Amino acid sequence: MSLWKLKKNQKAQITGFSAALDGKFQKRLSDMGLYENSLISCFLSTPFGGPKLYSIEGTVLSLTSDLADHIHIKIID
Amino acid sequence: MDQILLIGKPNSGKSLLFNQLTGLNQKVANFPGVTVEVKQGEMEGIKIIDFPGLYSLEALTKDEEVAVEKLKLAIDHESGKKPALVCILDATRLERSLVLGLQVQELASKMGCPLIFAINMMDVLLHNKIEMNISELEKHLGARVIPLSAKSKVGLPELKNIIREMVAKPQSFGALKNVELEEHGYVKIARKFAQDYGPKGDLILKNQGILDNIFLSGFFGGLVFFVIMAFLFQSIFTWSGPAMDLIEELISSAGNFVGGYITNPMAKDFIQDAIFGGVGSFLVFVPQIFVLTFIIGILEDSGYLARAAIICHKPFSFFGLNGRSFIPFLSGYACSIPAVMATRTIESSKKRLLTIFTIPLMVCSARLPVYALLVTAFIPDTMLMGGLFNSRGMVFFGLYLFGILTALIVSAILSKTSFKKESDSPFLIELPPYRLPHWKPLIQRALTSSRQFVTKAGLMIFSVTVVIWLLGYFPNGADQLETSWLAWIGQKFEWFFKPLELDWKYGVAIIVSFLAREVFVGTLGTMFGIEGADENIAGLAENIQASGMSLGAGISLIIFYSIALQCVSTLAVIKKETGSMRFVVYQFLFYMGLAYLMSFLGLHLVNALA
Repeated sequence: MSLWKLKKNQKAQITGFSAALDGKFQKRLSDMGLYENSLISCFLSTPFGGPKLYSIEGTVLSLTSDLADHIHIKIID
Repeated sequence: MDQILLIGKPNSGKSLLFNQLTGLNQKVANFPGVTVEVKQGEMEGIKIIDFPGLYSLEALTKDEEVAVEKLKLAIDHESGKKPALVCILDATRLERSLVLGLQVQELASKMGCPLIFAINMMDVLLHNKIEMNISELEKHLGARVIPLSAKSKVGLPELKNIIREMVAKPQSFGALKNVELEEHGYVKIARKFAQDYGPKGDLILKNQGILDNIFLSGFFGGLVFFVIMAFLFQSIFTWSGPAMDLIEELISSAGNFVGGYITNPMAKDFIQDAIFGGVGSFLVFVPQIFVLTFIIGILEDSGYLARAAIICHKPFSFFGLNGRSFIPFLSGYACSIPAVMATRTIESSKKRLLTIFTIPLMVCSARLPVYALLVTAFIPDTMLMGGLFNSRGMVFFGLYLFGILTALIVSAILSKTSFKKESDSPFLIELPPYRLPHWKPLIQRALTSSRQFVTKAGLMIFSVTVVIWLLGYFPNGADQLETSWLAWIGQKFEWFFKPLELDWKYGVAIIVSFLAREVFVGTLGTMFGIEGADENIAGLAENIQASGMSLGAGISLIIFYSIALQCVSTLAVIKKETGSMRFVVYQFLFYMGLAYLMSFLGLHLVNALA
């Protein structure tokens, strides 16, 4: 499933990226701590489908569906 | 002079550390915008250079590109001593800051620059009674690590000592090549180091979570946003009001005082009409620039601007922009120049260009004197809705709204037409923690931007006023404006302004204000002054009313000024930022055509209704 579908307060592990994602964005995501096997949780979602906040390794990132749709995850408890 | 470069992630407390090291002895090399400046200061004869915050040496946005380029240039100067690097790590976000830190270390070892790490925010660890293993981190990094807190100044003397040592014996701080790095890459090593030697547990997330649930929640977050924006615009007017009155008072009494000592009538006319009348009318706006820069600074330092960008993202994206356009738009209410430079933080080239294209529609401080004059001249001062609103205040608010709405509509249309093929990229933003702002640097920044406003615009306004005065005064002297050289030039362009029902005087004022809008008031003031009238805005407004200008023409003039791109400095900055003359010419002609068309329609609409 994609990161965008992760609900508030759910935790997940990143399993990969979709091939459609531009390499330079994947590179930046990885500099920001988002790469395979990283743990991520949804911290907050803003109304009307606005950007969501994710917490990863002590940092809070805000992503929109145009990036989060391309990040594959599996939910962990 | 020996050089120390400060490098670090955004929000790592780098700027505060820079201020602690250099004191007040610093200068900003760039126009103050948001994170696009390279600051220089001095510590005991050592030059300290503060680079903009970076996430990675592989640049994604335009501002990062500029910063990385400048950094490499600074390191790679062939003659003379290599600069020493101080890389700032954030103890509360160790992994993120190590990603950059390891890249910087690699660069330093390649270029043969001495390097140390300063690990900031140790006070937060201390406060939460959390420890981290600095000596192991130091061992595995192969470079000195100085723990400190820029906020509480703990560790600052040690850092200063090390900086002195680095300058004296650079060879003993040579950056090592990290063997593990080659094998695993810096992203994974950063995580390993942070997990093995860094502090355990999420330090600031808890507080941040509570505040973000308030500031970013649907209804309440929106309400807070509007309250903050309303407060911002209210304070631009109310806080700067007394200072503006004072400056106006001072200028007019200084004018009268100086005028009293001059016996030569021509010199007296020149001093009073051109110098005090023309230049004085724009100095009045300095307090507004100060207040706006100051409040934007508070919002930025506290971490709220990043939240505001998130709130605005969804609505802005309907118009082809994104949340990051919010900060440049907001700065655009002070001046388009820093606003255009602030667009460097927008990752998407398409959205950056659209933002640059629409920034000149924001009601900048140069439009204020023009609006103030025209609104006073054409809108009767009445109270609406039982005294709740003032008619002129409402028109002002309407003009602000008109600016942003036109910007959004123009952007929506162009994103689907002229800018359709530009490359786009997604929205990604790291949220800084909430922090209390530090007042001293904020005041300093507001002072710098006010000073730059005066020096940049002042010279041009002065020259324009002098030229206008000379052309209007000669060949026949005072009270002979109608037969002056200026009138002759103005009448040559009358055909252009006639459809808008504006006579040659307004034509001249409009033409010269293509240099800078605020020149409009000074020019009209100078012209009416030569005719023997009063210069202050209220007096000028009466002169305009007495000149028999119709309401329709007045409205069309206001519309013209709210759309036309009349500012040479903005055009120059846009040319520099986009690197494209075509863009600038297109933008200029686009707004010129739109302004003319809308004024024409406005004129006929008002005339038909009246």
